[in-house]
Order: sequence, then C-alpha cells, then structure tokens
Amino acid sequence: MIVRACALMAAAVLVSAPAAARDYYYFNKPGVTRDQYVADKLECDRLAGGVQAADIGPVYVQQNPNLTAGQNALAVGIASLFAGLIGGGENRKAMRAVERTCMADKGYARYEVDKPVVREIEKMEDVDARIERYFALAATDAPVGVRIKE
Amino acid sequence: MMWFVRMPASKNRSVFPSADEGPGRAKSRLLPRRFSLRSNEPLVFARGSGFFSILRIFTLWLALALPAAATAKDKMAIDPAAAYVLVEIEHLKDAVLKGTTAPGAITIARYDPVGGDVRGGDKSPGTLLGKKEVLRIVLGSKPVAKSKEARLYLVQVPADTWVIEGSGTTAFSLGSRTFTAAPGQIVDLGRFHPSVDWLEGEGPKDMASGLMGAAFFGSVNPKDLRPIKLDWRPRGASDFPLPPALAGKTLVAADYAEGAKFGNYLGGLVNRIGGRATRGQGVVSPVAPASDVAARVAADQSEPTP
Repeated sequence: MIVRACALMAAAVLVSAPAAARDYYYFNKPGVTRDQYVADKLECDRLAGGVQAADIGPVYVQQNPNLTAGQNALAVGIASLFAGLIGGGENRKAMRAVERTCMADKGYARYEVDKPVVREIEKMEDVDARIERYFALAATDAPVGVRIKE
Repeated sequence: MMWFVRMPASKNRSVFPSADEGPGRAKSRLLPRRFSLRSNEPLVFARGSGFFSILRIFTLWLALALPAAATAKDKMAIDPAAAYVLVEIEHLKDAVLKGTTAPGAITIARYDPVGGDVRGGDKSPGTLLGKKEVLRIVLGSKPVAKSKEARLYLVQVPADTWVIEGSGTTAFSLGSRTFTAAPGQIVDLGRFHPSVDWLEGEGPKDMASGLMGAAFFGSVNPKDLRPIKLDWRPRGASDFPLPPALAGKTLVAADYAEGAKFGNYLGGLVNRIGGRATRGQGVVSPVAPASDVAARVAADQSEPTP
C-alpha cells in the first residue's frame, strides 16, 4: 500500500513537472536603443511585480484514525507542500504572462534560446554586464533561436 | 410566523387511547401524515404531506422575498447633486472552459490625469485618497436589469476623472480610456463585451481537458494565461430600456479619452482595453458621438418602461 502511494506521488510530481518547467527566451526588437530597452524592461517588470500571490486557502486533510497524530500531521504537511508548489507555480506563470504581454505590446518578439546561454548571463555578477548581454540579444537584426509565440 | 408555533397539548392526538376512552379500543388510530422537524412534535403549519408542506414554505418565502426585492429597486432614487454611471456589460463566455458563462464585470478607478496613474498609485502618490473615500468600484453585482446576455448597472460615483481599470483580474494598464463624471451628471458608458484575448489558433479547453488539468496540475488554466479584452459600442435601441429611476433624466455620453496607462493594481494579468488587435493604434475603439446617446434617451423616454 505504501509503495503504491509513493509510486502515485512520484507519478504526480513527474506529470506536474512540465507545468513548472521554465522557458528560456529573450526579447528582440531590432534597432532598439539601450535606454529604451532598459526603460521597457523595467516597466514590464514593475507590472509583473503587481501580480499577487495566488490564494490557495487552507488545506484540509481528513484525519486517518489508523495513523498516529504525528503521521496525520505529516500528511497535512505534505499536502500543504504540494498545494504551495502549485500556488507558487501559478504565481510565476502569471508574472511571466504579464512580462510577455507587456514586452509584446512594446513591439518585442520572443525567441527561444538554449539553457546554457541564459545560465551564463544570469551567473554574471556585474549587473551592467548582464544588461549589456541581454541588450545585445534584444537589439540585433539577426536574432538567433526559434521565434515563439507571445 | 404563528404557523410555526406548536399545537397546544390538548390538540395533540396520541396513537394510544386516552384515559377517557379507556383501554378497550382495539386499534390505535392512524395519525395524519406530518412533516415535522422533530419526531413526535407535529407542527400546525406542517400538517399534511411533506411535499405540500415544502410548497407552502416556498410560497411563504416568495410572498416575503419578492415584494422586498421589488421595493429595493423602487426605492432607488437619483440624487440630483450626485454623479452616476450607467453601463451595460455582456456576459463573459468560454473564458476557460467551453460552454461556461459568467456575468461580465468591469472595474473603474479614480484617475490622476496629471500624474498618469490611478490616484495614490506609484506615479501619483500625492493624490492618495482618505481611507473612507471610494477609490475603485467593481461593476459586477446588484444590476438594475439583467437578461441572458447582459446586465445593466447604475451606480453612484464620486465626481472625478475615472479610468476603466480592468475586467476581472486583468488590468488595462497598457492602455485604457478615461472619462469624467461631474456632479449632477448621469454618464452613459455604453455597452461592453468582455472576452478572452486568445492568440490565433488558441481557444478554451473542453470540459474533459479542463478536468484532467485540474486533477493532475491542480488548475484548469491553460499553459499560457491570456488576459481579458473589452469590445465597446454605444447602447442602442435593442439594449435594456432605461431603468424607471432615470425616467425624465438627462444622460450624457462618456467623454472618453484614450491612452491612459497605470500600474497593475488588480493583481492579475495586464492588457490593452481593446486587446492585442489595437496595439500601435492611437484610438482604441470608436467613441460614441453624443448624438447617439441623446437619440437613445429620447427613444427610451417615448417608450413605456416595464
């Protein structure tokens, strides 16, 4: 029984993983100036920051009389953890949707990029250097990668 | 309310013979069927079968509730010194799942045209309103008229410049329209049609996909969330007649001004009021000429109100 429950839980995690998976992309608008790009990105980040955390409400788990109080508490904890993960995922999804809608509204197209490229940029400790890399991707006339929908 | 009072003990009949009758009766009598909240405690009002008792309760509820509702509408009096908005909002259909319908809702907020933000917002902190002052109004409940397609709202508002801030949890932060409501004015905002701003080739899930999503991902939302947009047109002769409270009153068309931007204060997605199809356009959607509303008002006043 326990093995079956664990297998079900693992399956649930695997199935829900794609929903939480992150897309790696950048925005491109040929010819945009650095100041304009920074202003646009800041404005869209500000709007995305307005997304409120999803209210998942209290988590109810029926008390199992066959379990001890500690095991019941553990069950509630696990259920709350999963509910929190789902709520956090919805929140991040909404923030990304706001950013994408806002940047598209300002004329930017979205291009998919390999994970290492984004990872490398995000590892840069110098913020100006990081912005410079993203700006280079944003302003180029020959964007690399596949254009993806808004 | 006296129907709910229990019968006096003398009126109660027992299945057992009384002391006067003596023990000689062979059979106990059949009691009439009763609908009782507590066993062995017959209610005068509830005498009869359960079905008819429920019918009586329902009739009583109708008799009490309906006049009260009618009175609430009839009591709506227009303050000649106050500002009002009249708006018709169509239902939101196929929002997430195919075949679903929900009443459409619009949020309006007080706007600072100088600072370019909702009053008290990030770009307009100096216009912060007092705690008891109304900052935003959600037009989504207590309609003055409703049909299968739309609802009509008439709401008193503080005189000010207002912006159509959003619909549902979508804020039209990327571009919306403002209007002014002056004291003594009844401003006709027209008729709005909310819908999801899908990309080409996208659409609502069918019920089975939605239930699968809810079961495995904890949400019926699509992978890519899409905001709401509003289509607009002036109210016409085929729409709701003016409510009785506005009989003989003069309405003014909203003096819409386009291009208002502001922060995302509704906590959800953002969009332009007219959706992605209106990007790059100076005017979001056509504005009703004042003559349309004047003609509409004249037509309403010549027709008998229901």
